[in-house]
Amino acid sequence: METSIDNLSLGIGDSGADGEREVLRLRHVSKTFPGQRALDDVSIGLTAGRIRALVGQNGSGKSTLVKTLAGVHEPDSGAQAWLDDNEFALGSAAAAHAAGLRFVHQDLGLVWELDAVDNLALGRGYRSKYWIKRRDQVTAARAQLARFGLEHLDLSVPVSDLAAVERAMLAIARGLWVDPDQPPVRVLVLDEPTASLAVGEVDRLFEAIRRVVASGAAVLYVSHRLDEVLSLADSLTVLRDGKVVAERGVEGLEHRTLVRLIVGHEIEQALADAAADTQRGPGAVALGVTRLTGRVLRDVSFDVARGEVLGIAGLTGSGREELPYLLGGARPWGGGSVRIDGRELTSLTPRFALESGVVLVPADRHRQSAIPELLARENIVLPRIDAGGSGLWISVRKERRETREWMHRLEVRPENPDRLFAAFSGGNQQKIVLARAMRLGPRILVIDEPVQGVDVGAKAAIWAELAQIAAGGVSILVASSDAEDLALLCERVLVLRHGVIVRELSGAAVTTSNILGETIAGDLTGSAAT
Amino acid sequence: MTTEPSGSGVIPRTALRALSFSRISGLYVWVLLFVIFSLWVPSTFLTGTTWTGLLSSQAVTAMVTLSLMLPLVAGAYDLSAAQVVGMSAAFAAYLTHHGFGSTTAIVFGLLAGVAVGVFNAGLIVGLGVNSFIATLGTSSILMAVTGILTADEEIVGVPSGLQSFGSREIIGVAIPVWYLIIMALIVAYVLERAPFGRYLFAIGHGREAARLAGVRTNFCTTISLIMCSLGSAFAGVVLLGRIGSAEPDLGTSYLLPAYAAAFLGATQFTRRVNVPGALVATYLLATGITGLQLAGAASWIQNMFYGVALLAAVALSLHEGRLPPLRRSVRAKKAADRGPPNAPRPDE
Repeated sequence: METSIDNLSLGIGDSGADGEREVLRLRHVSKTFPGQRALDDVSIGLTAGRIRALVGQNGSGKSTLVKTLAGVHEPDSGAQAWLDDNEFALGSAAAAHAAGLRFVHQDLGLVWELDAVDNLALGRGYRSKYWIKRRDQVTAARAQLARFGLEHLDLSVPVSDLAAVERAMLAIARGLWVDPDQPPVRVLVLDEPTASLAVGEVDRLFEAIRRVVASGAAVLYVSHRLDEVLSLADSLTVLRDGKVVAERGVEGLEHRTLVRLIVGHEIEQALADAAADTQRGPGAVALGVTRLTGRVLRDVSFDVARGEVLGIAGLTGSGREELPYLLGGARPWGGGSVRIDGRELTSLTPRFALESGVVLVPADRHRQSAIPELLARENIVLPRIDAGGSGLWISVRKERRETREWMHRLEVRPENPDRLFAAFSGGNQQKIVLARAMRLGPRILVIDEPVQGVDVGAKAAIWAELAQIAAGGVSILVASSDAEDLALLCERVLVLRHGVIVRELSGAAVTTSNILGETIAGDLTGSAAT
Repeated sequence: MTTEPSGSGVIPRTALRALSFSRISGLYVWVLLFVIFSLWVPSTFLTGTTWTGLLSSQAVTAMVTLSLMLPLVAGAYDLSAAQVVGMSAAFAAYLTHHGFGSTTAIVFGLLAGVAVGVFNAGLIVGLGVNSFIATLGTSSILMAVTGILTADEEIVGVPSGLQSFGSREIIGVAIPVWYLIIMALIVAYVLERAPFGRYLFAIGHGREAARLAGVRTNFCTTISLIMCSLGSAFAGVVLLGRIGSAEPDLGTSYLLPAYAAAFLGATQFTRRVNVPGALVATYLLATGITGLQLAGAASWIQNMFYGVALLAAVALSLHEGRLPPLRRSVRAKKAADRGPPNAPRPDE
């Protein structure tokens, strides 16, 4: 196995073909933190007019590298960087900016209450020094936005009212805006730009990125989403444990190979095996949904069998994000009923849902599924606090022991129940959230975005755990914007569009392309309703 | 990121960490103040009268602190707590001057507290008014009510039953101190070992997440507000028994010290709002002020001391990030600067 992986990393410089200029060159970049070598002799090159993807798990050094470039961290001595053959100092934000590097981070850095014109001006300043001339500013803004296909953007509303993809493109437009007499931006670094975009919106963003490279700049594209990386990038660099383990063109690279490069070993087979273990075929109906209606959902009906893993797919605004919260009692119903264990319910509260055996795992770890400022064990026990026989005295020692067992079972690292939830990495946080849900012994588990912001290794562990729960008879309903994840885990997938179920895929028909296809079919412009 | 022991960390994990300055800086500062004033004004500072007086006079303040800690943990400020002290004292005094016995007066004083708690909850939980603003309004109303009850002048004289309720001595220790000890044990239990306390912390640090976890957020917040007013009313009645009179402005001076102690206490021991921390803070502040007064400082020194202590405590707490209601705005700012580390914001 090791040999074949080595064969796949075809060596440095492969993507910098003769005749194509290397815009950005980094050599021997290392970064040591106390007790940890985050980057180990990393060298990377960006070619003009090309998109290079940077991939790796959480902890691989991906974000450290980007931060070093951005000037947040200073690298260990011996690091060198050139932009267009001009050397510049790493570890200084001013030097990076002066050299011509621009960054669009994951949260975009926009001010939500301001409109697009003001947000554009944030980076560069207004055209007039003492008195803002709105009309001039708007004209200049429009010109810049037109370069990214945003000429019809609504400039009068706060950016919070824009579509997510428009915001992402706006952030890019802002990053690339320079005075006419200044040299153009040479390198654009994008960190997880599609994190909050739905499938249809991603293509629009990619179009904008391609325009950027067409002008001669180079793009470094950092992402967890491997299918996007494979479709957008020209070449990629894989980091693992701070080292470059592969650097090659994207041409001919298969998804599972890429995963193997990132994780270092074969995991998809284990997932497939785990998924195959789940009960197939019809079982007793555990959850019957009849004509459920919410703000977007309209008269949705379906059944979930015992031990079944049912997927819910759909674009933003299709009702996919609403369904889990209706089932979990988190949002009020506009009509319909749900049958659990023979009981018919016409409304739910979170508490009532829990008592009925329905456990909801929301998507947002910061605001909904967990409380970051509480300890891990406090989070795990919150829905059902064990306070001894009388229900009056919490034994912290017992609680610690119980939660440590759960953390051990789900391989949470570090296995410390007294650690602040916020101190864990995304993947471990999600495992803690899952532990909380599993501890309640649910009959029906409703999960929204089970592996959002989770690295590949933790993802595999979570998938395996879900498959195991299902094998034990728990019905699982998974809502996700990632068709790949759904295809991997679910035996049956319901596709939603405009609040209704438009398609049911089952068995062999549950594939990434089928799910994707059904999700965006009929949405010709590719942009999602917000 | 630091790792934190839980509320049980009153007895922290390792002895070394237990004695670290950041954990128990309050105790060190208290000792320091003690030493300073012992050397500065030993003749007055180191007398038994000074210390017994300090202990029992601060007991009432500390009881108010303990009361307001409950809604505070859940993210609600009850600024009316101090006025409840005054109002309940005035009410009880009023009753005793109108033919009612001590016991009746005490019971009705407490019931008045419960009524205020219900009223506050109605505003904050029922109508969704910001707790700061709501209880600011309530406190103003209560001050007016106190004025009505006292007819804008002091009510002097309480029956012996009330007097013994507030100023008896048991094995040489004034009874308010005993009340304080019992209250401290109760509140400590609630915050650290009762499920209800956990719910309050959860609500304070993540209301929506708590709701989704099945916590009855409205109910718990309501109960915490009622418990706060009840505790404050109890402090008020004890105060009446101790000083034997009630004046219109009785409660006002308790607001700042009570909150200063709560916030300062939250920087101690467990880095969350906690009972031992609050008690240490109360007496630390009182020691400092008493010492300064004995050394001849003017009376404004009291306000200065509390103000500075409150600001220092809040600045420290924000730096560590453990106070729920204030944390939200700081967290939002930090999130804007940094961006969420692992979980992208889901589309809405």
